[in-house]
Amino acid sequence: MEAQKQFGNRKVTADPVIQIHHLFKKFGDHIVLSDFDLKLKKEENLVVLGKSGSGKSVLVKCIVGLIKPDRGKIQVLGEDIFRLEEDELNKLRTKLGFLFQSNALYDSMTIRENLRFPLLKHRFPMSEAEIEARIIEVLEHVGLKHTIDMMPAELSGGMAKRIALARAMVLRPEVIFYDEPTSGLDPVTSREIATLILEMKEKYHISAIIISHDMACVKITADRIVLLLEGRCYAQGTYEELKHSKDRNITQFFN
Amino acid sequence: MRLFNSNRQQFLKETGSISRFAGKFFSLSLKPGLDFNELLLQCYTIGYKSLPLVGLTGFIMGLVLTMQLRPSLLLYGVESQLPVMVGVAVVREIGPVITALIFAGKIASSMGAELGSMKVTEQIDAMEVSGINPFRYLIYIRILAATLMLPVLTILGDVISLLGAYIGVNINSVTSLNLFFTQIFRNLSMGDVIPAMIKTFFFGFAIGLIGCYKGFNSNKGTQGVGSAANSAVVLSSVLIFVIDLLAVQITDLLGLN
Repeated sequence: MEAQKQFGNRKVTADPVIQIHHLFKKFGDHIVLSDFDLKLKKEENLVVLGKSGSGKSVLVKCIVGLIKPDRGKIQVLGEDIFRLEEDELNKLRTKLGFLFQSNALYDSMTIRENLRFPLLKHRFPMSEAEIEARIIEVLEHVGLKHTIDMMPAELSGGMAKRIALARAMVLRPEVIFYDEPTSGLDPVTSREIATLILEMKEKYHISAIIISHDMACVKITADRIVLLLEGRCYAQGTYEELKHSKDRNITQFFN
Repeated sequence: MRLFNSNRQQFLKETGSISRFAGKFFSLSLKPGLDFNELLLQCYTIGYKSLPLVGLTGFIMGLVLTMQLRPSLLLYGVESQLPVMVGVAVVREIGPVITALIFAGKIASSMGAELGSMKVTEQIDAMEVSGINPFRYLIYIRILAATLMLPVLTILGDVISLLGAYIGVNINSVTSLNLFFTQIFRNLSMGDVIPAMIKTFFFGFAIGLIGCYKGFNSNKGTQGVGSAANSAVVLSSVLIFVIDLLAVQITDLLGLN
């Protein structure tokens, strides 16, 4: 069961933490996901690649239960998320992190309060000192400890992205979803964020699904890439495998 | 005809959706785990911060009402009944309705805009994916705070309004504060006060419910936020009058009028 597979130059285990079977979702007459299958293995960084509007964000929102699919089955950490009661789903969600494209920081709270909020609301058995230590730890990891008392509106785009990443990490999730983590950032900051994603995986042994168009970010972060085309998994493989494919639908992303 | 049908369908759909939203509020009321700190914060934000506006409008309303009523009462030679008339009008009807309308303008719009903005910037989704129930944390507490705060504001608004009326009475004649209030309270019965107070709970609930519903269900980006704030005020103001009409009918049926 713990067989090792080699993707690129990084090791991942074969145990799936997320399994998707025959996922189908349409909005009106527009079919977004059609018979979509996917497996995310433990400690794997999986990049979902696809054109704008191809349903990548819908896919991750289905996985965390924000959007209900029309058909199909999604298992996250062994649980069928659409069979869970609300309380059970919320408990499962504490093991998931989500980095939104828009960062989605609570703009009425300081950075400290943004990070404290999920820890307090879940009533984890943590003392005030432990909560503060956890906040400092994640902020130090993203290199922004000095912003602790600032408001989200005072941060630059790159800083806000790092804080959003720190917030996604504060509950120590087992799986994290990155929705366009480098969109709207300059190439240098994008590379820093991509490196940070990789560090998160290596330090905390997190599995991740990364939605991205940014091929520089994809190259740094991806253990495996899934190409989403017309609602289906069109191709999958490592960065190098897909880059050297002869299929124009695949190579158009790499040129 | 097609337009009428489509509007009717839209109306029924919206009514059903608001009813489900209200149902969710009541089902959460039965579950433990109320965040008292957040409730106090919302009561402060919703109630205390609305007091200056409610006080100012109540004062002007009492003063103007007295000045407008005086000529008519003079005509019939019952000017001495001015405090009684103003008192009954303010406590039974004008105080609760005007306070609720001011409250709707301030609170329903701010709830619609705040929650709408949180919705379009994915802050509500962020809360949900971190395992926090946004309905419990954002909606339930706001509706509860609005329901609890409007009756308090109405009592304070009524008192300030009667002080405005006292000044209005004293513009043309001299009446002591003691005599003014004695005259009012002697002519007010529990049948005037209790139904008026009960309906303010319903006004507060309707304002909180509509403000939160519109904000929580807003879409279409920044335009949606503006539209949520606007429609929250319009719909909650209409609902205030509908509830008021029903309240009058019920108090009539119960023989309290």
